[in-house]
Amino acid sequence: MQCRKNNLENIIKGEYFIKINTGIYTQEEIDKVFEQLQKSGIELKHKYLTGTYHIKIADLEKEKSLLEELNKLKEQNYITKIEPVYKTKTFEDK
Amino acid sequence: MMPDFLRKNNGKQWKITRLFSEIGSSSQKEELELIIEIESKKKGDICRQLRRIGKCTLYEFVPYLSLKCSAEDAKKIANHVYKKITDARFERNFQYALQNIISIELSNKVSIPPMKPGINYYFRKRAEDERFWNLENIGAYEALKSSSGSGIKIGIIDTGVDYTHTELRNSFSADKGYDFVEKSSKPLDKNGHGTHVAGIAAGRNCGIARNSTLYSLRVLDEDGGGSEADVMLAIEWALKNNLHIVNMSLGSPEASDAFKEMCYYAASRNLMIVAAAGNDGTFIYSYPASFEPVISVAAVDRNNEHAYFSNMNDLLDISAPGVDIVSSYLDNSYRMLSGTSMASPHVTGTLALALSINKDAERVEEFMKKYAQYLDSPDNHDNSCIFGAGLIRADSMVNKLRGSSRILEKIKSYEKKEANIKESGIKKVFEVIKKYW
Repeated sequence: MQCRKNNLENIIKGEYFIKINTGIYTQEEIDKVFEQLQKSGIELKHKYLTGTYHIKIADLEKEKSLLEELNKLKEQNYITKIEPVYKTKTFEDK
Repeated sequence: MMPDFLRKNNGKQWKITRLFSEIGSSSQKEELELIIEIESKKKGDICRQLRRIGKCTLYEFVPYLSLKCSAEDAKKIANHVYKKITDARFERNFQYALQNIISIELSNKVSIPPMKPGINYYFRKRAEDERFWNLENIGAYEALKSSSGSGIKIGIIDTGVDYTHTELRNSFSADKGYDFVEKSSKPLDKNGHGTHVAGIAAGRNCGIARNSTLYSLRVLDEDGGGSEADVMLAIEWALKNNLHIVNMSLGSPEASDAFKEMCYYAASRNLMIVAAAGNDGTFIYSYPASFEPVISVAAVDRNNEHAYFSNMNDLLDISAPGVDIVSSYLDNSYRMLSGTSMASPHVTGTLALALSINKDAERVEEFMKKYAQYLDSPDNHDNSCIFGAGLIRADSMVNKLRGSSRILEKIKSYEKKEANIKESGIKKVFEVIKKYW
């Protein structure tokens, strides 16, 4: 089942979920990647039990260039998935 | 994917569902306005006959007429047309008109149900003496004789919970849960939604699993909005703290694969996840409810008819009451609210009663569906896209689980006895061998 996606109104700006290719790289190598990312302005918010990382780009002006950087890492196979974080809400009282 | 029959009948099905839902939630004498499609050649005669029921107006250029009549008469007409249920006297009096009706739908100027949702509720009696219709309808009072949910930990992933409310304060331990919005260990509710939901799941008077332990996992702010990233954190918290069930009366039409993966992961660790199907009233998916391992809950009204706002799709699992539900609210008050948000905690509370008897989540879910009450859709279509397996029945589910647990215990004790007999038999053989060796 594929979720319906890509409505920008429902996305939290500057926040992403990424998945690291743990099959190829060791935890040490992954840590190094994150060190680099943090230096360039990407904040690591949380690593979930499922292995997904929640990251945040605080400076939204840098978002485009930093996303390009992340996409390069994806091309190099360090990262296997980058996707936006969606908003959620209570269902309105009917 | 949506089944073919629903794709073809979306509009018609929806109108019929809404018609029965509105009629069901109206008092008998309340006036409704119906738009009736009729055989065009017989317009005048039909209208003349229907004028004995209420104010009937013919449309000049289309084969429709409008009829303002009581909800009671509207129900008789709708039953005749869609359910083939007839009231003999009514049919005799209006035979000609009834035979020439092609379809009925509600005019958009429908009068509102007698009690508007979202209003403060004051008990006529003491809260503890009140019998709540929603709990009666799912057999919760009967089920409470066998189980009260003790030993089961429930997480309410919502706007927080007012754990000082008299309905709820005994359901919380020293650990109240966590506030992922303000990063605090005091996850109090500033909206009211979460407190209402928690009251249905485990309130002392208006709730179901009255002896289970609640945890407030606040992921939504005072306006009811939040991020799926925080919802995922709350699910992790639930896993780390060995919770048995989480209730999510929240959702979004879109979701990430990361959220989906978290739900699959949590379910694989035996965490039961219950979520509201959504209030768009259309054929739409909402997440997390429509992730496969999540129990997706639709809403019905007090007549067990589809609530007009409840989403419909092929991933619904079960239905529960969700219209005019009274439960705890902010400032130690009670409020009547409607929505699939209210239906979901009925399922959560019932599952807690069941898990208290048998901790096997898979078996409990199987029993939930197996012993659900079958609900009929207005035009006899496959109704699983409207109601899932049907209305949750706390009484049958708990009783059957109790029964099957007893049988299992008996089998185990027989096996033990048999093993003892075998063991003692072998001992005797050895003694004989020793004696004559």
